Amino acid sequence: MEQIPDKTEIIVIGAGLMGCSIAYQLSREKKEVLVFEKRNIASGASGRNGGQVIQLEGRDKNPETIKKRLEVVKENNKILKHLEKELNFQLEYQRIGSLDIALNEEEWKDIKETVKIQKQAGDEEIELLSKKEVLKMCPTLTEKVFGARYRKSDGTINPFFLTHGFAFNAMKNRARIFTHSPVKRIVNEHGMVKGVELETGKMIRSEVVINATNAWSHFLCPEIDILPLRQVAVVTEPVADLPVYPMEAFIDGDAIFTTTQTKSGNLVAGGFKTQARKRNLHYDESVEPIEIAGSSAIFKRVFKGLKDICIIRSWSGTMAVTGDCLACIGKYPETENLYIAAGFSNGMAYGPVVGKLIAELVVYGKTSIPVDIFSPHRFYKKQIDWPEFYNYTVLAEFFARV
Amino acid sequence: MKKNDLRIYDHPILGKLPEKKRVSIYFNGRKLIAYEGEMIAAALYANGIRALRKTEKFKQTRGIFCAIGRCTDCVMTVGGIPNIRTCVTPVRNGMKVESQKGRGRWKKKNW
Repeated sequence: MEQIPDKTEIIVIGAGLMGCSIAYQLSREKKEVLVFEKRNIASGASGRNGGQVIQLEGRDKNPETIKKRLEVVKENNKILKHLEKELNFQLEYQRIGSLDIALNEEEWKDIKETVKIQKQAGDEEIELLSKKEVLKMCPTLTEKVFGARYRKSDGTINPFFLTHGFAFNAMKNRARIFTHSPVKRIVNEHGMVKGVELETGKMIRSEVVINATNAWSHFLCPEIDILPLRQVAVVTEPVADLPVYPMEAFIDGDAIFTTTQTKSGNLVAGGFKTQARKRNLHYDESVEPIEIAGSSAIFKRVFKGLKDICIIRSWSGTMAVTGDCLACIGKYPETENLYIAAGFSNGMAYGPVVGKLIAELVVYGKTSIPVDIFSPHRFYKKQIDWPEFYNYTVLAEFFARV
Repeated sequence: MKKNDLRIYDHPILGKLPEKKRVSIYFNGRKLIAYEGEMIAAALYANGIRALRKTEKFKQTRGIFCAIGRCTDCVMTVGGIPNIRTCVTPVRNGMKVESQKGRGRWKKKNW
């Protein structure tokens, strides 16, 4: 095994999508980068998602944040367009658009309102589709659909290829990734970061440390309260090409996300009803039989035409939620040279741009596009009164109340 | 008894095959006789048809392998729905069975 050096310029903690993307961008700037990962590349949520690139997700109705998020989305789109060429790596990226479908009257009203506000805030590509248009586009959907929102620059990507593409290219640029090397703590003295201490007791000194551990970030940076949230997904057998789009939909308060088929023909669907559980149990990555049964029942309800397809595999993974559902990207308060990129509940859509932004922040001290809405200061040393037992539904109610 | 019929009507140990109702199924448009309660794959075999599908990548033919619904080597398009395991699906009168190429194709009316 490769010897871990005693000191370096930059340490990235976590070899998920964000960690690898950051390492890749920094290694392009000729920085000496070490990445430490507890398990393996893309072992956490980066390898446990549907690969949907749904940008500007959620039903954001604040024109100010929409405007700022749009700039990030546009930059992300620009990078994604040429990423396959840049990384020289097959990513299975398909720009086919995404849907947010309404399955009842109330939802439909909500979507119509959201689209109106987002259009006014400057999103040119967002579209409202009537029931007829949705069913024409996606005839497998249930006839109970009311309508949908459509963004054409979204799509799907293979999450493993994307993460490994970044990791491979980072290593080509002489960054080094140490897997199965958990970090115990981030060492800082007098408000200056000094390096990290590994679980083995080894200390590595470095000028800059970047925490890219998403759902696990509060173990290293406890001052920012980022909540882990477990989600379940199922994979079907490979089937013939179907008109299916990555989408968001709410059913009885539960979110369901489905993506188009992978290249081999499997459909991935996820985000189903799970039992509310305590915070530490959200790191559990096993799946209970009742969750698979529930998932297939919901799957059948959303797609009337796909009831004959068999589910062959399932998984659960842990994503992260912050106090306002936006990620935490930037300089860590009160500690020099410590950066954080965590709190992603939809990281697949933002991986490429976040790597670039953090690299800019580390190398030049500022980003090319404003990221103040993602500032970690929002939650620094702020206790959030999370519900003790929670799942997606409980959190949705929690956010509606706040 | 037809020329290509491979059914064992008189088995040395199991005895005579009981009389069953005849149904007709269509394999790629060709009318075949089957018996009620038979699995699709069994009916096709009895009529001398062994190549049930073609693989996606190398276009090789596949037939019955496990015959208990595990291996998915016998999947065919039945009534416009692809990926039906014919070795565990009983025949119905007038059923349309088509050999499947790769992942097959969906008939739009089923959506």
